[in-house]
Amino acid sequence: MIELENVSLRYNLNREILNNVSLTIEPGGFYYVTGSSGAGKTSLLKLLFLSLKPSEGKLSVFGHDISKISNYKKQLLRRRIGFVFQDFRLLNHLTTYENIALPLRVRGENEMNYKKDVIELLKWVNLEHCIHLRPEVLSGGEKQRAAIARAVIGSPEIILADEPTGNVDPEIASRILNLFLELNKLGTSIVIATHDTAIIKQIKKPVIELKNGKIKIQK
Amino acid sequence: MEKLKYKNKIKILSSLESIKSLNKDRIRSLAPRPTKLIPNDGVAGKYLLIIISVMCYTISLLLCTISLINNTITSSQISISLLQTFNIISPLIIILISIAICSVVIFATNAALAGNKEIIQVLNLMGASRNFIAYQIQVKFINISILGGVIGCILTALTILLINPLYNQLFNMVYKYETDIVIINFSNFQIYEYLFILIVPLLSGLIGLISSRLAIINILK
Ligand SMILES: Nc1ncnc2c1ncn2[C@@H]1O[C@H](COP(=O)(O)OP(=O)(O)O)[C@@H](O)[C@H]1O
Ligand SMILES: [Mg+2]
Repeated sequence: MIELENVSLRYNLNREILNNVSLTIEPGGFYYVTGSSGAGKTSLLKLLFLSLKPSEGKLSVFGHDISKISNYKKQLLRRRIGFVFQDFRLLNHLTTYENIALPLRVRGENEMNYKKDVIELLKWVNLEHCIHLRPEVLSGGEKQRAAIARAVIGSPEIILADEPTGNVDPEIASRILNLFLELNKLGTSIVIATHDTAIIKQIKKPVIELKNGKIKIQK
Repeated sequence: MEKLKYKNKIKILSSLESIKSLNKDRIRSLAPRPTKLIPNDGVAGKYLLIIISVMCYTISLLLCTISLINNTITSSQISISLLQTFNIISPLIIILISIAICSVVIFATNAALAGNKEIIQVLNLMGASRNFIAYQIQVKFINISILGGVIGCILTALTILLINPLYNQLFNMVYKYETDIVIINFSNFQIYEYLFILIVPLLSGLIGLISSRLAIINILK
């Protein structure tokens, strides 16, 4: 589904965030990405989301070599990936409902066709009471769930979540984790970047550990 | 105030209704209008509209004058050379003003891009195409430039309606003394001959479209 072949990544010359890394994300897989703060978890997810280009090596997403694709094609591929941002990236001038519907709206879909789905999804993440509230008044956990709902609405084939349990208390964290597990059972691949060892213990899945630009996979 | 309350009521109603029963027609009648993806900053829009209206007013007035003059019969050599000069200079002025509209729109677009940088980034991350994002920003400027053109045209029409009788009077007054003055064949000049100034809104809309697209494409890369 997503393949990295001898990929290196650096922002500037003196430090390699990723150093000659090869990795395959299988369809339907569930992975954790761990590592200390600054190890490059976010950078790895950004690579998979086509926000960054590898400095060296080959990255192919859904079978497309991304060094060769046009901007438009890149956007089309992105629509098949859901991303939960560490800082949520919700838009404060839109309501929660509109924020969640955004990925569909930017595809030019008609609101009448997706209104029902969005409201169902809002129920699924327990946010019905926030439907017309702006994200700035939501609590951390509510924002987190809104961000997850937005990543899910476009029925992506893979979801990349950057510290999805970073800003919430343990109870909500385990509920969020269960949401991902449910999605995974429905066939969506999941990649969760986290440094929270508690949630890794809770559901046993392969762990991709980042350290000094190298990865170690523990099954 | 009344309007605002009404809007909120609809929002609350629609939120309740949509959860209870998802009857399509019901939703259509209750759903609030979607918020604009790129929010409007009203004040800048107003100034832009005023500037573009004044510019379009000047352009259409000049166009009218050109047409008026070229329908003119004149008896004196001095008038002819004056008119020829005018014929050369006024297209230049029109071009200059068009360029001015262009740069005003480009500046405004750049300001909108800078002011909404984060929103644009998020749209990009959601998989929006460049065209989609460009349209969200552009639509405001296209509307403003077309509206500016229309306002300019209306002002021109009013001006001509006001000036024509005055000019007639003035002309008759001066003509009595048989001075060197252009002779305009007013009887031939009908209102539909002014209709060509309707290209001004189209023109300014086109300028708005092209220049804002130029500004956007440069930055969205
Ligand atoms: N845009 C950037 N420019 C330069 N350095 C960056 C940039 N983004 C991240 N870094 C650096 O890359 C390293 C890894 O960052 P990140 O991937 O965010 O780590 P993590 O998510 O694991 O905490 C950090 O040392 C950070 O300072
Ligand atoms: Mg990070």
